[in-house]
Amino acid sequence: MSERQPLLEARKVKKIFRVNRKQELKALDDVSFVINKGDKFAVVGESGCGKSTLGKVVLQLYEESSGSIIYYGKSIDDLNPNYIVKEINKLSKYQKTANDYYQESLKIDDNIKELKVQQEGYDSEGSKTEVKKYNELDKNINELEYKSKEARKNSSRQLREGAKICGSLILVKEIEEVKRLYLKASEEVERAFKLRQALYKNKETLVSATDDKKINKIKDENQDLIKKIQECQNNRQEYLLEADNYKGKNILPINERAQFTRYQDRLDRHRIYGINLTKLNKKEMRQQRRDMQMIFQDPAASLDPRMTIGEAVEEAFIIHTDYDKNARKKLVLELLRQVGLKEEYYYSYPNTLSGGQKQRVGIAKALALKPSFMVLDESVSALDVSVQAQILTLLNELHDQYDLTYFFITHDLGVVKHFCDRIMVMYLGNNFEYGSSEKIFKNPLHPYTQSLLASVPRLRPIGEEINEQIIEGEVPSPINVPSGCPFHTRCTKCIDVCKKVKPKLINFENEHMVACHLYKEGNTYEF
Amino acid sequence: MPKVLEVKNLKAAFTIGKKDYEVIHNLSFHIDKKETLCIVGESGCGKSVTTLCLMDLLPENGKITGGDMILEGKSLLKMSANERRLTKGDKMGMIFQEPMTALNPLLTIGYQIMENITQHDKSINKKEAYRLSVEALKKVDIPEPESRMKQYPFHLSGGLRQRVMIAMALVAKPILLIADEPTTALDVTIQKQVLKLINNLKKEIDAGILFITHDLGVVGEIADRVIVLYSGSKVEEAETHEIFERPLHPYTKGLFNAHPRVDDEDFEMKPIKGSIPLLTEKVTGCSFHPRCPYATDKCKNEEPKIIEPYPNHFVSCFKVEEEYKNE
Repeated sequence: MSERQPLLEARKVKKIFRVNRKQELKALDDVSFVINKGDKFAVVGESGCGKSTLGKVVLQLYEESSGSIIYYGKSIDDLNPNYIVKEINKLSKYQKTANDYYQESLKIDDNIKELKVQQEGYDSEGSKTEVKKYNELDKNINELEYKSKEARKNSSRQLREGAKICGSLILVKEIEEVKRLYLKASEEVERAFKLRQALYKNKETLVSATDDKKINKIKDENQDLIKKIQECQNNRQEYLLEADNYKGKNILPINERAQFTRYQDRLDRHRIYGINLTKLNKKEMRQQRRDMQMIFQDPAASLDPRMTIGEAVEEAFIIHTDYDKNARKKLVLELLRQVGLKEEYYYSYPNTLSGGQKQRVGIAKALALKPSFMVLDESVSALDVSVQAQILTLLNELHDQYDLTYFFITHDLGVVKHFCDRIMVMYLGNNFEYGSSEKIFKNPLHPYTQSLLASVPRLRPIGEEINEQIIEGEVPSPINVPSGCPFHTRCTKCIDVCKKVKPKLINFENEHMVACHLYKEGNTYEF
Repeated sequence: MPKVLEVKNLKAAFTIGKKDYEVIHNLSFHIDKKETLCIVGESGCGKSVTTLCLMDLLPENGKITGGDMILEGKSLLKMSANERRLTKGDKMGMIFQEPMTALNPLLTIGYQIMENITQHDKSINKKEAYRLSVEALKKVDIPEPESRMKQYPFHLSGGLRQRVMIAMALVAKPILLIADEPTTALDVTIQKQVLKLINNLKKEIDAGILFITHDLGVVGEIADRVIVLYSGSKVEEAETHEIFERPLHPYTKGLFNAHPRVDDEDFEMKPIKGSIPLLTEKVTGCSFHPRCPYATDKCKNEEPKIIEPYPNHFVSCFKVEEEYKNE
């Protein structure tokens, strides 16, 4: 894989379940990662580490508590979700609130200055009353400093929100004009989207059409539609370019850094070209699911026992397309053939199939709408080893054939090693290590990854005992996550800092990230 | 080494409708003292049925149709019902796969362990039984055994529950311990802890262990000897290292090729074609022939005999037989 295009990105995803009024369960705690196109991305960890929750949040089957999931398979160039228009309308509001917060912080700064002058009048080592006054002022100053800092943070938070839509244009004086142009651009996307839908529909009718006259008519229509779509795209480009003209000129003094190009570049980088799944409404997300499918662990439970295999697979076409009955049957049979099932199974019920065959039906269902992204939640765990190998081989073939990207949730490290190319190790909702499968198996960095690998059962040399360093204890309850590094209670290499400070995910070497205090960015191992 | 258990030509069948379907065909094996024997195979191969035969726990429609099972020189099948019950409790301990379903949710851990002791040795009073139970919990590395005695199964995590099961199985000092997939439902880290525990206990208690699993990694970790079962027949038997290094039967080879190993760098996954035959399907000759890449007409019609091409390495396959003849 030479070019690595991102397909899906998670930014600081949090998911908190309320257990009762007082307690909450942090299932995911600031999980961030990038999945590139064509990756076979694996999430591993013990049960209760949040891997399944992550899979469901990615597909928006669970609503996240905070953070965003950005899908790059489609961009805002070809889709105009509702939230984009809303956000564009809010641009000037973002700018104004950011400015308000900044002004507030400036006022507070003035206050602090005054207090500091007052404070100089008192001696910190003088009489009791003087010390008391001095300390009081000190406390006030501290409080105000905190407030000012918060205000500044809020200010830049507002700017970042705006920058997601228009980058550094959020800083310019002509924000109203920018807003107008962006709205126009998004209207063009909307128009193009509608035209494209008409085009799809025509193509679907073409599949079953027989009349020559009709076919020609539709084909002419299609030519026309394609032309119009191109027009829309050109218009959109023009509007955006026009807006870009304002870039870098007439910058408002919203904060101290606004004038610097470095800050502006940073805001530009915040601009999101993909689609933020967390902001889509239900209907839009449903549309989006054509692209993103899931294969479940228990193939028996994910099939309706009263539906024949044909009906179960056909369902996706009924919901998402306008194919007629014959066309649908043709497609279903083709799918069954692809996943290695005989045509006869079209009319049979799930109870007549074996576990492996049921899982093949599950794959056919997921594959029906030609998705580009698939979440596989322990999809081979319930299968016997010989059948598991069959299914994995099938998944591998489909991956190459359809350019699929897999998000593989599993606890079986053997499968991960020989099937996946990137791995994320999770523990209690935290991302502990992230990297290519080769690097992680050859050079596991995090003590947890190391002991996880050591725990995999394997042939013991003759005469040797099971006394490799095995991990003690069990996963603590996610309701009371240990302070600092959540793993410190079981870690053999625990040092003092682990108990207090939660380690950040750092880039240890090229695309091998780890969250552990034993490592420093780009550095080698140190105790 | 004296034999703890000897199973001779065991046959078992299930009645479905009005017909009998044989699920175990002429299975013979033995377990020595202080030895762990693993039975491996895919689901439906008869692993669990074998343990159910031993423990006399077959469902109503199942029955033993032939052969014999001899525990320390005594035939289990010829015992009276009461004698069998006492032997089961005194001499055989069983660990099940799902500790949550094997433990009674309404009774405390303590009650359930003590019951095992008092039921089988009436001379032990309650106080003594309590002491023995706490000792047993300590032995399986359960922290704070006294407070655990008062707890109910739902208080414990999966790993702890499995430890309680082991303590229960061991408290009557059995000479045969049967473990049916005891680690399958556990996380790898906990699995390793439990395997280590079983291995350490084996040295202490002077018993033979019959270990059922489908995970070849677990086999490598814990077994001394391995039996590969396919569709109710023994296809191969050998010592653990022998079978890992020199698998002979095509099915055993297939299993190894399908099992992704972490310690194997150049592993290439090769699945076995097809799936196991249904219980109601009648397969003539070698039961593996429909999936076997080397199957000949002979395999379809005749049943292969068990041969011993290398010392203590048994296999039933015509292909291996021929190659062995040539050597």
